[in-house]
Amino acid sequence: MKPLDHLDDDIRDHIERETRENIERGMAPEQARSAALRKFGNVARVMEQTRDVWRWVWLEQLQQDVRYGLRFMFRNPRFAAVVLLTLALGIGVNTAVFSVVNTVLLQPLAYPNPDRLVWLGTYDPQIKRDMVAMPEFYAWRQRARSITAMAAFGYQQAAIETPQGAAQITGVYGAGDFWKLTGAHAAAGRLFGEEEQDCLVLSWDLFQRQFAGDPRIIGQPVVMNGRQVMITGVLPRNYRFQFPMWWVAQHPEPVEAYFSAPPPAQRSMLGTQVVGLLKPGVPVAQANAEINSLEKHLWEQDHGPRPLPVVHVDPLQQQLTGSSRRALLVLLAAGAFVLLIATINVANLLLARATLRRREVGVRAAVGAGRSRVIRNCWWKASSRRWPAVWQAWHWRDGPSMRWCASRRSLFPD
Amino acid sequence: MSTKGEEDRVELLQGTLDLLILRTLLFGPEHGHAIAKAIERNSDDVLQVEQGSLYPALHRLIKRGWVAVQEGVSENNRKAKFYRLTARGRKQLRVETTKWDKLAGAIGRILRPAGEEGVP
Repeated sequence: MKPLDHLDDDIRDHIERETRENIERGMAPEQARSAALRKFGNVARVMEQTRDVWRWVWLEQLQQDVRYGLRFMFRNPRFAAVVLLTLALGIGVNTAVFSVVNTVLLQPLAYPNPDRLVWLGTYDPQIKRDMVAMPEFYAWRQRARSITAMAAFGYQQAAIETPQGAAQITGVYGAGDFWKLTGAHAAAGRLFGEEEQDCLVLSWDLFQRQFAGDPRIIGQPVVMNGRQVMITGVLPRNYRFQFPMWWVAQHPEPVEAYFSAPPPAQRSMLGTQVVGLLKPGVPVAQANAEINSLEKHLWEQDHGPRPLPVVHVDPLQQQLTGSSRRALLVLLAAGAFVLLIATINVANLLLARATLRRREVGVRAAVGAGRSRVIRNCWWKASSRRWPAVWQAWHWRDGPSMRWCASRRSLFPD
Repeated sequence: MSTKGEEDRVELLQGTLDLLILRTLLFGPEHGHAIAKAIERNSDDVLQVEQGSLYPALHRLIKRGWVAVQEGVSENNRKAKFYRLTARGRKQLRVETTKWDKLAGAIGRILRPAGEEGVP
C-alpha cells in the first residue's frame, strides 16, 4: 500500500471521528462538524503539503543513482572506456546508416502531394532506361482521366551570353504541367506559361552568380544558343529539382535553369521523361491500365513497324529510390544488429561485474533499500554509459526521428 | 470541551511534532485521529496541534523510513490506515529524545541559572 493512496479518505475519516467525539460530548451535529473542521485546519492545504512531501523523492533518488553511476565510472576507467567504445561503435554505425536512409528513403519529395506523384515510362532495352516520345506524352496528357496533371522534362545544356560574358549552363526543359507538379513559385518575376516559347527561369544560384542578383535582368532578352530568349523569373533559394535524373552520371552539375518546352517542330523526334499527378483516390494500377489502353489505341492508329510498347506507371518515390531501397534496408537492419550485439556485450560485462557486487547489494537491502530501489540503482549505473544514446535521442526528438515516424508508411508499404 | 482555557495552550515548536508522533507510536500502531488525540491528552491539552498538520509530518516520517503504513480495521470495524513505528524509527526516537533532553536542559539552565532560584 502506498502512503499517498486514499489520503482524502484518511482525512475524511479523521474529521468524522472528531465530529462523532464532539457529538458524544453533547454538541449539536452541525456545530460538532464545524468544530472538527476548525480543529483540523485547511483540508486542501494539508493535502497539498502532504503530497509535497513526496513530490521530489524520485528526483532525489535519481540524482543519487546518477552520482553513484558516475563515481563507479571514474573509479573503473578502463572498464568504462571499454563499455563506452563498444556502445559508441554501435551507435555510430546506426547514426551513419540512418542519416543515409533518412535522406534517401524517408525524406518525402518536397513537392506538393508526393504520394500522388507517379512516374510514367516505357523501358527501352537499347539505351537501358525509360523513354517516352514527346508526341505520346502530349496524347496521354490530353486523354488520360486518372491522371490530372502531367509534365515532361529532360536534360538540356545551353550556352548563354550575358553582360557578364558567355557561360555554359545546365538545365532542364519543362513541358506540360511542370510548374504545377513541382509547386514552384517565382521569387522574382514569373514562371513561364505552358504555351510560351523561348523562355528561361533562373535558379537562385545562377541568378546570383551570373547576374549578380540584379532584378533588372528579369524580362530582358538574352542570347542562348544563338536565339533570343527571355528571362521571365527567378526561383526561390530553397527550390530543388527532385525528379529522376538519368543524366546525372554524365552531367553531375546541379540544375541551374529551366527552359520552356522545345518548339513543336522539334517535338516529334524527342525522347522525354514523364511524371504525373494521380487524381485523388485513384490507385496506381488503374492509371497503369488506362495509360496502356491509350497506348494500344495510339499504336493501332500508327500502323508503325514498332512492337506495342508497355508503359509502366510507378509511384515517383519508388522510382527515385530504385534499387538502393533494398540495400539500404538491409544495411539498416545490419546496423541495428551491431547495436544489439554491442548492447549484449555490455550487458555481459556488467553481469560479470555484478557478481562482484553481490555483497554490496546485500548491504543495500539490509539497510532498507527495497527491491525496486536496488534495481533502479543498477539501471542508472548502467545508463550513465548510455548517455551518448540519450544525447542522440534528445537531438533527434524533433528532427529525423519525428519525420521517420511520419513517413514510416513509405518505408514499409503495404 | 477542553479543560484548559485558550491562553494556557502552547503552540508546538518547529520539528517537535515529529518527536511526539514517534513517541505516541511507541505504544503500537494507530490511525491519524488517534495519534492527534493521544498527543493532546498526554500533554493535558496544553499542546495545541492543528490536527491537519499531523499528516505532512507523518508522511515526512514515512519518507525517512521511521514510520510505515499498514492497512487495518479500526475499533468500529472500518478499514483504516494505521501508522506504525519501524525499527529505524525506534532508534531515531531514542536519538531525538536524548537531543531534546539536552536542549531542554540547556535552555532551562540558561533561563534559571543555579543560585538564582526564585527568579521567574
